[in-house]
Amino acid sequence: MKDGIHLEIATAGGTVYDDMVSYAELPFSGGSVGVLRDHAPMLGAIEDGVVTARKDSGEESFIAVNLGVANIVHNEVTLLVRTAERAEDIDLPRAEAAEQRARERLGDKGGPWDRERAQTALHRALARQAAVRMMKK
Amino acid sequence: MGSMREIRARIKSVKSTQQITKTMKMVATAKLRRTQNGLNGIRSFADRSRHILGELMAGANGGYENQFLIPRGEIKSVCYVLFVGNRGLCGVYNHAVLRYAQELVQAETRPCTVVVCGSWGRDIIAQSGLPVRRTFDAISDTPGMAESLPVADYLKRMYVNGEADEIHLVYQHFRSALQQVPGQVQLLPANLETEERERAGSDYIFEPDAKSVLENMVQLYLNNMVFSVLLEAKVSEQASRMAAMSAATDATTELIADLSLQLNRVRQAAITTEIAEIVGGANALKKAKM
Repeated sequence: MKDGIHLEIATAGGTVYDDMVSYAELPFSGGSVGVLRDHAPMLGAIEDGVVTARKDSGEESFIAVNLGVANIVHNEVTLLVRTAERAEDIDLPRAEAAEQRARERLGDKGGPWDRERAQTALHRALARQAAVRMMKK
Repeated sequence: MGSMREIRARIKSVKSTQQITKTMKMVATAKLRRTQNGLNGIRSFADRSRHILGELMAGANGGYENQFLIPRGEIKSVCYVLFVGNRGLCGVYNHAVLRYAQELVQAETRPCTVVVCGSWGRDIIAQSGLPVRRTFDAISDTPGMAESLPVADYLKRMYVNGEADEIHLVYQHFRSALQQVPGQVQLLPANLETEERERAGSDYIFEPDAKSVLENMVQLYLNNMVFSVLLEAKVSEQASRMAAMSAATDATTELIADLSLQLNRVRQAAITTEIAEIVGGANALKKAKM
């Protein structure tokens, strides 16, 4: 099957990924969803996680994304997200340090907002690490 | 009129000032172009999010309850977010927006707080009597999305915690490279602009449900709004600095012309005196010989 889906991942700062793919896996808040050609129109809430983009040639890309929205219509998959980072651009030690910090803050007693922030930071750090690990596999 | 040496020294110092203002103008032009590109990028993002919002609101599930969208019945506290530059030398840019904010705060009958973005004028702002509760001063001149997110998150948190029931962004609107006007825009509660309402009923599947999609969309919208206002404020700042430095360069050119004229006059006067002395001396000698 030819690469029949146009996948675009955009943040307000710019477009991070823009290419034709044959399969895309998106981290919706209800769980990951795989998208193939001729998918039904769908609007989805994206969670912190990893987008997998696979080309027909077998080439795979992994992009760590934050909260956002996916719009799937007529083989156009558009993701509007808070931040997005390609796996090859991710600084793994930094992500690990961020995870460490978030875990420490979760251990502290803070207001509910501090906990929530630490939780978000933790999710983000884990998503970034996951993207790197998936790329190395 | 000073001596020739004094005037020469003066010209030299004005020339070096001119070099500085010229360079600053060029730097401002380059930064202006860079931030303007960012602003164009954000517009296409905003267009697409409006499109999705239109689809969302058009569906059968209108009338969502989202805490960021519904105005609160009683406004107990208002927050003004003031965007100033990082430094001066940009004409009235900073002062005009500060004065505008002061007027807003003075006219406000409800209790209000101020959040400042930009490192300019910490002392001036402190003296201005604005109730500043937080200053974000680590924002660069050509900010990326990553620099506006902490501001957006902070404002959302204030709103959710009930520390502010209304949030306004106060900044210099960019009308053109020559005209920037202080103005304000309401961030929260959000007035979503949507489009294409008539395209109702595209049978979208919502994953997991329309409410979560809207929630995420609103979050994106707010981040986006703060970022675009930040960029616009920076564009205005650079445009203002460009104009100020251009005027300064012109003024130095004029000053140099005036000083050169003065220098030439002094030099001419010196030569004339010298010739008069020589001629006088020669005449005296001639008379003595006769």
